[in-house]
Amino acid sequence: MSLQEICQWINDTGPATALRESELAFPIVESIHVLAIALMAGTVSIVDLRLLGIVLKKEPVSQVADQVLPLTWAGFALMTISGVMLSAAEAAKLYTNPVYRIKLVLLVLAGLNPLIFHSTIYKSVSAWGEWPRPPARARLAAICSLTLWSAIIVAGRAIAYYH
Amino acid sequence: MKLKIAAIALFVAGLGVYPLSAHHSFAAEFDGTKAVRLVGKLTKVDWSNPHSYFYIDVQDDKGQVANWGCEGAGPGALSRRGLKKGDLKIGDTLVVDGYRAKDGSHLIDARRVTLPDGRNIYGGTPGDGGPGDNGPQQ
Amino acid sequence: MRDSTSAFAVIEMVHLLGLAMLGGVVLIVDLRLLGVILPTRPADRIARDLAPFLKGSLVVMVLSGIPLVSGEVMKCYYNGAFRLKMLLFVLALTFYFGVHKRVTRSAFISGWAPRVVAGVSLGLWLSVGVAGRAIGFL
Repeated sequence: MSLQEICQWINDTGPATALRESELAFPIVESIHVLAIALMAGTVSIVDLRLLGIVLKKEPVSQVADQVLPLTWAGFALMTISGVMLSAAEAAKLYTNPVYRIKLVLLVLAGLNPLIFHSTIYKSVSAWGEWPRPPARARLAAICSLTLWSAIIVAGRAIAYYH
Repeated sequence: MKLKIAAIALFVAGLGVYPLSAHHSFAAEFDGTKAVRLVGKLTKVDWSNPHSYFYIDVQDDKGQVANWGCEGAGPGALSRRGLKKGDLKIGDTLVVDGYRAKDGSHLIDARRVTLPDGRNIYGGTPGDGGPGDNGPQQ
Repeated sequence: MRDSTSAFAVIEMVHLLGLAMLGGVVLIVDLRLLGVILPTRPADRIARDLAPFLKGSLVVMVLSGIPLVSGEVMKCYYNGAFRLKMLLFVLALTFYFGVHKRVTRSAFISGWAPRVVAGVSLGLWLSVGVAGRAIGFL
């Protein structure tokens, strides 16, 4: 089965069709997806700004990360669930949408960035967590994060303008 | 960072001097100067979010039949205006007033749909800024 | 995409990016006031430190919102969700500058007052967002 056939199959399933043709459910799921951007990208942006030494400078990096990132994860869960639902409902149309594919690639990169960050420079956070300016590698991870999430938000909105 | 926020704010304010007619999602896809009235038999209905699509076979003055797509609001908005999924049957004759897609394809933005029973339904997506976008009372 | 069509899309995207930043700041400050996050760190310092970003993102939201509305002011007026959103927005702003700032900078930082203030703030800003989404669906 080709990827296109798989997307068409998903598109035609009962739940996906019901969501696509719904009066209330689709608007609600889409609204959750858009508003949860604040919970996910908004909170992680503040962690990134801390890593850049721009905000919350008197709060240790480890504290900010430990306390705020669970919110980011909650947001990510909401985004993923609503995103999968929306993708299934529109699977046939999305297959041919180039911006959707770009968004997926960006999402993978946005996932790799914290993975690398947490397994490298973050390990020594107890040493630099209270410096006035965090190390270059931490600042780089923050810039990548801010850039990638902004690009993902832009790509998400652009999906509607492409076929 | 405050400088960056100020820069973004200035940029956005600068965009605000663009021609006012540009500022609608309707205008992103459809040409507000190319009004058209299509009369045809319904061949297919996509009763879907975010937009519904009605496909009709339209006969031109030479007798040639072409299939046209008419983009309407989502099921929720249409339902609130009195048009439900089952109201349309394949083969029904529809009169659709709308505006042509900018890319020249056989697609119009359905501003007004006249049903076989004579009812007039406003078809546009709420808040898209297209002609007649005055809420539920049209 | 022609210039005029992309202007709307770009402004919409700026509006969305501003929403992310505004929401992030509101969540961090108000969840701190509720004692849910960073309970050992001073709430007034956190609020004061993030205030420029709250104000900056509000500026971005207003400056991007104006062109989104500007071309079709009367049509937005007819949209019930838009009117509700503007009312809630004014309430949220008034509440922030009139009450929220005072409580977070004052001796009322402990006890029930900051929790009530945080709850009202979260509720108001969330309502603004929900009303904004409803514009395209009603």
